[in-house]
Amino acid sequence: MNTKTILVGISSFALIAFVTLAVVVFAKPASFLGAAFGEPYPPAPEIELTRSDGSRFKLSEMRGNVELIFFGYTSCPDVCPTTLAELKLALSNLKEADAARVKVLFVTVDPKRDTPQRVQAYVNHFNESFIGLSGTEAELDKVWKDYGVFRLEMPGSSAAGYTVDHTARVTLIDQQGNMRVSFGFDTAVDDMVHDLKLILK
Amino acid sequence: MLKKQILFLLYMILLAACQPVKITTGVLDVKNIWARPSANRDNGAIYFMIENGATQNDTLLSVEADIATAVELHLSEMEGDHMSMHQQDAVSVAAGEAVVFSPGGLHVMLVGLTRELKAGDTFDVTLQFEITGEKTVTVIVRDDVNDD
Repeated sequence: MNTKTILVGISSFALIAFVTLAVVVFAKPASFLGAAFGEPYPPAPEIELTRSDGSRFKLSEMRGNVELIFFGYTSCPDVCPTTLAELKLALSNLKEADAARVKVLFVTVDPKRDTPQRVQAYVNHFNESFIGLSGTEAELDKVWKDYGVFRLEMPGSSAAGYTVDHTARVTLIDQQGNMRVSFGFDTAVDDMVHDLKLILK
Repeated sequence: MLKKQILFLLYMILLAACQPVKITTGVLDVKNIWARPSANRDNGAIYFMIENGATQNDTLLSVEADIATAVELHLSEMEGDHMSMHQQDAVSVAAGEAVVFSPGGLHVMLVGLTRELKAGDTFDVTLQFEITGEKTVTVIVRDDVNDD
Protein backbone atom coordinates (compact mmCIF):
# COMPACT_ATOMS: atom_id res chain seq x y z
CA MET A 1 0.00 0.00 0.00
CA ASN A 2 1.58 3.31 -1.00
CA THR A 3 1.08 6.76 0.47
CA LYS A 4 -1.21 7.80 -2.36
CA THR A 5 -3.67 4.99 -1.68
CA ILE A 6 -3.69 5.83 2.00
CA LEU A 7 -4.30 9.51 1.28
CA VAL A 8 -7.16 8.73 -1.09
CA GLY A 9 -8.61 6.45 1.58
CA ILE A 10 -8.42 9.05 4.32
CA SER A 11 -9.88 11.82 2.17
CA SER A 12 -12.78 9.62 0.98
CA PHE A 13 -13.54 8.74 4.58
CA ALA A 14 -13.42 12.41 5.58
CA LEU A 15 -15.77 13.34 2.73
CA ILE A 16 -18.31 10.67 3.70
CA ALA A 17 -18.13 11.72 7.34
CA PHE A 18 -18.63 15.38 6.41
CA VAL A 19 -21.63 14.66 4.14
CA THR A 20 -23.26 12.47 6.81
CA LEU A 21 -22.78 15.18 9.42
CA ALA A 22 -24.17 17.83 7.06
CA VAL A 23 -27.28 15.72 6.36
CA VAL A 24 -27.89 15.20 10.07
CA VAL A 25 -27.33 18.84 11.04
CA PHE A 26 -29.08 20.58 8.16
CA ALA A 27 -31.88 18.10 7.50
CA LYS A 28 -35.30 19.74 7.30
CA PRO A 29 -37.82 18.74 9.92
CA ALA A 30 -39.89 15.76 8.77
CA SER A 31 -42.52 16.87 6.28
CA PHE A 32 -45.96 15.68 5.21
CA LEU A 33 -46.40 13.01 2.57
CA GLY A 34 -49.85 14.34 1.60
CA ALA A 35 -50.38 17.72 -0.10
CA ALA A 36 -49.31 20.21 2.59
CA PHE A 37 -50.80 23.69 3.04
CA GLY A 38 -48.13 26.41 3.24
CA GLU A 39 -47.65 28.87 6.08
CA PRO A 40 -49.54 30.81 7.24
CA TYR A 41 -51.90 27.83 7.47
CA PRO A 42 -55.40 28.65 6.24
CA PRO A 43 -57.96 28.51 9.06
CA ALA A 44 -60.58 25.84 8.38
CA PRO A 45 -63.89 27.51 7.50
CA GLU A 46 -66.66 26.97 10.04
CA ILE A 47 -68.97 24.02 9.43
CA GLU A 48 -72.46 24.16 10.91
CA LEU A 49 -74.58 21.12 10.14
CA THR A 50 -76.93 18.62 11.76
CA ARG A 51 -76.01 15.35 13.47
CA SER A 52 -78.17 12.23 13.51
CA ASP A 53 -79.59 13.01 16.98
CA GLY A 54 -80.82 16.36 15.70
CA SER A 55 -78.14 18.36 17.55
CA ARG A 56 -76.15 21.05 15.78
CA PHE A 57 -72.55 20.36 14.90
CA LYS A 58 -69.99 23.19 14.91
CA LEU A 59 -66.47 22.54 13.70
CA SER A 60 -65.11 25.29 15.97
CA GLU A 61 -66.29 23.27 18.99
CA MET A 62 -63.93 20.45 17.97
CA ARG A 63 -60.73 22.48 18.71
CA GLY A 64 -58.05 20.42 20.38
CA ASN A 65 -58.83 17.43 18.19
CA VAL A 66 -57.55 16.64 14.73
CA GLU A 67 -60.28 16.35 12.10
CA LEU A 68 -60.25 14.41 8.86
CA ILE A 69 -63.01 15.71 6.58
CA PHE A 70 -64.34 13.78 3.61
CA PHE A 71 -67.24 14.69 1.35
CA GLY A 72 -69.28 11.83 -0.09
CA TYR A 73 -72.73 10.26 -0.21
CA THR A 74 -74.29 7.11 1.11
CA SER A 75 -75.43 5.66 -2.24
CA CYS A 76 -71.80 5.68 -3.33
CA PRO A 77 -70.66 2.04 -3.56
CA ASP A 78 -66.96 2.35 -4.39
CA VAL A 79 -64.99 5.49 -3.65
CA CYS A 80 -66.69 6.53 -0.37
CA PRO A 81 -66.57 3.08 1.28
CA THR A 82 -62.96 2.71 0.14
CA THR A 83 -62.00 6.05 1.69
CA LEU A 84 -63.86 5.31 4.95
CA ALA A 85 -62.26 1.86 5.16
CA GLU A 86 -58.84 3.45 4.64
CA LEU A 87 -59.47 6.06 7.33
CA LYS A 88 -60.55 3.29 9.70
CA LEU A 89 -57.37 1.39 8.89
CA ALA A 90 -55.24 4.52 9.37
CA LEU A 91 -56.74 5.14 12.83
CA SER A 92 -56.14 1.52 13.83
CA ASN A 93 -52.44 2.13 13.18
CA LEU A 94 -52.29 4.87 15.82
CA LYS A 95 -52.00 4.46 19.56
CA GLU A 96 -55.49 4.24 21.06
CA ALA A 97 -55.12 7.57 22.89
CA ASP A 98 -53.97 9.27 19.67
CA ALA A 99 -56.75 7.74 17.58
CA ALA A 100 -59.27 9.08 20.10
CA ARG A 101 -58.06 12.60 19.30
CA VAL A 102 -58.79 12.17 15.57
CA LYS A 103 -62.38 12.85 14.49
CA VAL A 104 -63.49 11.64 11.06
CA LEU A 105 -66.22 13.84 9.57
CA PHE A 106 -68.24 12.55 6.61
CA VAL A 107 -70.20 15.41 5.02
CA THR A 108 -72.80 14.50 2.42
CA VAL A 109 -72.84 15.84 -1.14
CA ASP A 110 -76.35 14.42 -1.62
CA PRO A 111 -78.80 16.19 0.74
CA LYS A 112 -81.85 15.02 -1.25
CA ARG A 113 -81.29 11.43 -0.19
CA ASP A 114 -78.93 11.71 2.79
CA THR A 115 -80.61 12.66 6.05
CA PRO A 116 -78.27 13.07 9.06
CA GLN A 117 -79.59 9.69 10.32
CA ARG A 118 -78.80 7.99 7.03
CA VAL A 119 -75.28 9.41 6.89
CA GLN A 120 -74.58 8.36 10.48
CA ALA A 121 -75.89 4.82 9.88
CA TYR A 122 -73.60 4.63 6.87
CA VAL A 123 -70.44 5.72 8.68
CA ASN A 124 -71.31 3.55 11.70
CA HIS A 125 -70.76 0.62 9.40
CA PHE A 126 -67.08 1.52 9.36
CA ASN A 127 -66.49 3.04 12.78
CA GLU A 128 -69.04 4.27 15.30
CA SER A 129 -66.74 7.14 16.27
CA PHE A 130 -67.03 8.64 12.75
CA ILE A 131 -69.39 11.61 12.54
CA GLY A 132 -71.93 11.74 9.69
CA LEU A 133 -73.26 15.20 8.81
CA SER A 134 -76.03 16.57 6.65
CA GLY A 135 -78.16 19.70 6.54
CA THR A 136 -80.25 21.82 4.28
CA GLU A 137 -79.08 22.35 0.73
CA ALA A 138 -78.26 25.98 1.56
CA GLU A 139 -76.19 25.02 4.62
CA LEU A 140 -74.32 22.37 2.68
CA ASP A 141 -73.83 24.60 -0.33
CA LYS A 142 -71.89 27.01 1.89
CA VAL A 143 -69.69 24.20 3.26
CA TRP A 144 -69.01 22.78 -0.21
CA LYS A 145 -68.03 26.24 -1.49
CA ASP A 146 -65.86 27.04 1.54
CA TYR A 147 -63.97 23.75 1.13
CA GLY A 148 -63.71 23.93 -2.66
CA VAL A 149 -65.80 20.80 -3.09
CA PHE A 150 -67.09 20.04 -6.54
CA ARG A 151 -70.33 18.02 -6.62
CA LEU A 152 -72.68 17.40 -9.48
CA GLU A 153 -75.68 15.10 -9.73
CA MET A 154 -75.29 12.89 -12.78
CA PRO A 155 -78.49 11.42 -14.18
CA GLY A 156 -77.92 8.03 -15.75
CA SER A 157 -79.50 4.68 -16.46
CA SER A 158 -78.34 3.16 -13.15
CA ALA A 159 -81.01 1.55 -10.99
CA ALA A 160 -79.42 3.53 -8.15
CA GLY A 161 -80.95 6.68 -9.65
CA TYR A 162 -78.56 9.55 -10.14
CA THR A 163 -74.94 9.29 -9.04
CA VAL A 164 -73.00 12.26 -7.69
CA ASP A 165 -69.61 13.22 -9.08
CA HIS A 166 -67.65 14.68 -6.21
CA THR A 167 -64.25 15.75 -4.97
CA ALA A 168 -62.55 12.73 -3.39
CA ARG A 169 -60.05 14.37 -1.07
CA VAL A 170 -59.56 14.08 2.68
CA THR A 171 -58.58 17.32 4.42
CA LEU A 172 -56.74 17.27 7.75
CA ILE A 173 -57.43 20.05 10.24
CA ASP A 174 -55.06 20.47 13.18
CA GLN A 175 -55.73 21.03 16.88
CA GLN A 176 -55.73 24.82 16.34
CA GLY A 177 -58.34 24.62 13.57
CA ASN A 178 -55.99 25.15 10.65
CA MET A 179 -55.94 23.21 7.39
CA ARG A 180 -52.58 21.45 7.23
CA VAL A 181 -52.57 18.68 4.66
CA SER A 182 -54.91 16.91 2.26
CA PHE A 183 -54.91 13.42 0.80
CA GLY A 184 -56.01 12.54 -2.73
CA PHE A 185 -57.90 9.32 -3.36
CA ASP A 186 -54.73 7.41 -4.27
CA THR A 187 -52.88 8.26 -1.05
CA ALA A 188 -51.49 5.17 0.68
CA VAL A 189 -52.81 4.46 4.18
CA ASP A 190 -49.22 4.40 5.46
CA ASP A 191 -48.71 7.95 4.20
CA MET A 192 -51.83 9.13 6.07
CA VAL A 193 -50.60 7.39 9.23
CA HIS A 194 -47.22 9.10 8.83
CA ASP A 195 -48.83 12.55 8.55
CA LEU A 196 -51.26 11.88 11.41
CA LYS A 197 -48.37 10.90 13.67
CA LEU A 198 -46.52 14.10 12.74
CA ILE A 199 -49.50 16.28 13.59
CA LEU A 200 -50.28 14.40 16.84
CA LYS A 201 -46.70 14.75 18.15
CA MET B 1 -15.59 -14.63 -22.28
CA LEU B 2 -17.70 -16.21 -19.54
CA LYS B 3 -18.34 -12.72 -18.12
CA LYS B 4 -19.82 -11.65 -21.45
CA GLN B 5 -22.10 -14.68 -21.52
CA ILE B 6 -23.35 -13.99 -18.01
CA LEU B 7 -24.03 -10.34 -18.89
CA PHE B 8 -25.93 -11.44 -21.98
CA LEU B 9 -27.96 -13.89 -19.90
CA LEU B 10 -28.77 -11.17 -17.34
CA TYR B 11 -29.78 -8.86 -20.19
CA MET B 12 -32.14 -11.51 -21.58
CA ILE B 13 -33.68 -12.12 -18.14
CA LEU B 14 -34.24 -8.39 -17.70
CA LEU B 15 -35.78 -8.18 -21.17
CA ALA B 16 -38.10 -11.09 -20.39
CA ALA B 17 -39.11 -9.51 -17.10
CA CYS B 18 -40.15 -6.33 -18.89
CA GLN B 19 -42.44 -8.08 -21.36
CA PRO B 20 -46.12 -8.14 -20.48
CA VAL B 21 -46.85 -11.68 -19.40
CA LYS B 22 -49.38 -13.43 -21.58
CA ILE B 23 -51.72 -15.73 -19.69
CA THR B 24 -51.76 -19.10 -21.39
CA THR B 25 -53.74 -21.29 -18.99
CA GLY B 26 -56.22 -22.17 -21.73
CA VAL B 27 -59.20 -21.05 -19.62
CA LEU B 28 -60.88 -17.89 -18.42
CA ASP B 29 -60.61 -17.58 -14.66
CA VAL B 30 -62.04 -15.17 -12.07
CA LYS B 31 -59.83 -14.71 -9.01
CA ASN B 32 -59.54 -12.79 -5.72
CA ILE B 33 -63.26 -12.14 -5.48
CA TRP B 34 -64.34 -9.93 -2.58
CA ALA B 35 -66.89 -7.36 -1.50
CA ARG B 36 -66.84 -4.68 1.13
CA PRO B 37 -69.19 -4.95 4.13
CA SER B 38 -72.37 -2.94 3.51
CA ALA B 39 -75.64 -2.34 5.30
CA ASN B 40 -78.93 -3.81 4.14
CA ARG B 41 -80.60 -1.55 1.49
CA ASP B 42 -77.31 0.26 0.82
CA ASN B 43 -75.32 -0.21 -2.35
CA GLY B 44 -72.29 -2.47 -2.40
CA ALA B 45 -69.40 -3.31 -4.69
CA ILE B 46 -67.67 -6.51 -5.79
CA TYR B 47 -64.05 -6.65 -6.91
CA PHE B 48 -62.04 -9.38 -8.65
CA MET B 49 -59.57 -10.15 -11.40
CA ILE B 50 -60.54 -11.79 -14.68
CA GLU B 51 -57.71 -13.72 -16.29
CA ASN B 52 -58.41 -14.70 -19.85
CA GLY B 53 -56.00 -17.55 -20.54
CA ALA B 54 -58.10 -18.71 -23.49
CA THR B 55 -57.15 -18.03 -27.09
CA GLN B 56 -60.25 -15.95 -27.85
CA ASN B 57 -61.09 -12.44 -26.69
CA ASP B 58 -64.07 -12.47 -24.33
CA THR B 59 -66.48 -9.94 -22.88
CA LEU B 60 -68.17 -9.72 -19.48
CA LEU B 61 -71.77 -8.88 -20.38
CA SER B 62 -73.50 -8.87 -17.00
CA VAL B 63 -73.47 -10.15 -13.44
CA GLU B 64 -76.41 -11.68 -11.59
CA ALA B 65 -76.81 -11.84 -7.82
CA ASP B 66 -79.88 -12.55 -5.72
CA ILE B 67 -78.76 -10.33 -2.86
CA ALA B 68 -79.38 -7.03 -4.68
CA THR B 69 -82.28 -5.51 -6.59
CA ALA B 70 -79.98 -4.73 -9.51
CA VAL B 71 -76.38 -5.51 -10.46
CA GLU B 72 -74.45 -3.18 -12.74
CA LEU B 73 -70.95 -2.74 -14.15
CA HIS B 74 -69.40 0.62 -13.30
CA LEU B 75 -66.10 2.42 -13.68
CA SER B 76 -64.96 5.06 -11.18
CA GLU B 77 -62.68 7.53 -12.83
CA MET B 78 -60.73 10.45 -11.47
CA GLU B 79 -61.44 13.59 -13.49
CA GLY B 80 -59.04 16.16 -12.12
CA ASP B 81 -59.68 16.05 -8.38
CA HIS B 82 -63.17 14.65 -8.47
CA MET B 83 -64.46 11.15 -8.86
CA SER B 84 -66.96 10.24 -11.51
CA MET B 85 -68.84 6.95 -11.96
CA HIS B 86 -69.68 5.64 -15.40
CA GLN B 87 -71.94 2.69 -16.03
CA GLN B 88 -70.45 0.18 -18.47
CA ASP B 89 -72.50 -1.86 -20.96
CA ALA B 90 -69.84 -4.59 -20.97
CA VAL B 91 -66.15 -5.10 -20.17
CA SER B 92 -63.89 -6.82 -22.70
CA VAL B 93 -61.02 -9.07 -21.69
CA ALA B 94 -58.52 -9.73 -24.48
CA ALA B 95 -57.07 -13.23 -24.91
CA GLY B 96 -53.98 -13.71 -22.74
CA GLU B 97 -54.73 -10.66 -20.64
CA ALA B 98 -56.19 -9.81 -17.24
CA VAL B 99 -58.66 -7.10 -16.23
CA VAL B 100 -58.71 -6.00 -12.62
CA PHE B 101 -61.84 -4.75 -10.85
CA SER B 102 -60.57 -2.76 -7.87
CA PRO B 103 -61.54 0.15 -5.58
CA GLY B 104 -61.52 3.45 -7.47
CA GLY B 105 -61.75 1.65 -10.81
CA LEU B 106 -63.94 -1.01 -12.37
CA HIS B 107 -66.44 -2.56 -9.98
CA VAL B 108 -69.62 -4.57 -9.95
CA MET B 109 -72.22 -2.37 -8.26
CA LEU B 110 -74.82 -4.08 -6.08
CA VAL B 111 -77.77 -1.71 -6.13
CA GLY B 112 -80.12 -1.97 -3.15
CA LEU B 113 -78.77 -4.87 -1.12
CA THR B 114 -81.50 -7.15 0.20
CA ARG B 115 -79.40 -8.13 3.20
CA GLU B 116 -76.46 -6.89 5.21
CA LEU B 117 -72.99 -7.97 4.09
CA LYS B 118 -70.81 -8.71 7.12
CA ALA B 119 -67.10 -9.48 7.06
CA GLY B 120 -66.66 -13.23 6.63
CA ASP B 121 -70.00 -13.72 4.81
CA THR B 122 -70.00 -15.41 1.42
CA PHE B 123 -72.50 -15.30 -1.43
CA ASP B 124 -72.60 -16.50 -5.03
CA VAL B 125 -72.82 -14.40 -8.16
CA THR B 126 -73.03 -15.48 -11.79
CA LEU B 127 -70.93 -13.74 -14.40
CA GLN B 128 -72.20 -13.88 -17.98
CA PHE B 129 -69.43 -13.92 -20.61
CA GLU B 130 -69.95 -13.68 -24.35
CA ILE B 131 -67.72 -16.70 -25.18
CA THR B 132 -67.19 -18.55 -21.89
CA GLY B 133 -70.87 -18.34 -20.99
CA GLU B 134 -72.04 -18.45 -17.39
CA LYS B 135 -69.54 -18.62 -14.57
CA THR B 136 -70.76 -18.82 -10.97
CA VAL B 137 -68.26 -17.72 -8.34
CA THR B 138 -68.27 -17.20 -4.58
CA VAL B 139 -67.70 -13.73 -3.17
CA ILE B 140 -66.12 -13.28 0.27
CA VAL B 141 -67.02 -10.16 2.28
CA ARG B 142 -63.80 -8.68 3.60
CA ASP B 143 -62.95 -5.63 5.70
CA ASP B 144 -59.20 -6.27 5.72
CA VAL B 145 -58.21 -5.45 2.16
CA ASN B 146 -55.62 -2.71 1.83
CA ASP B 147 -55.17 -2.23 -1.88
CA ASP B 148 -52.41 0.37 -1.73
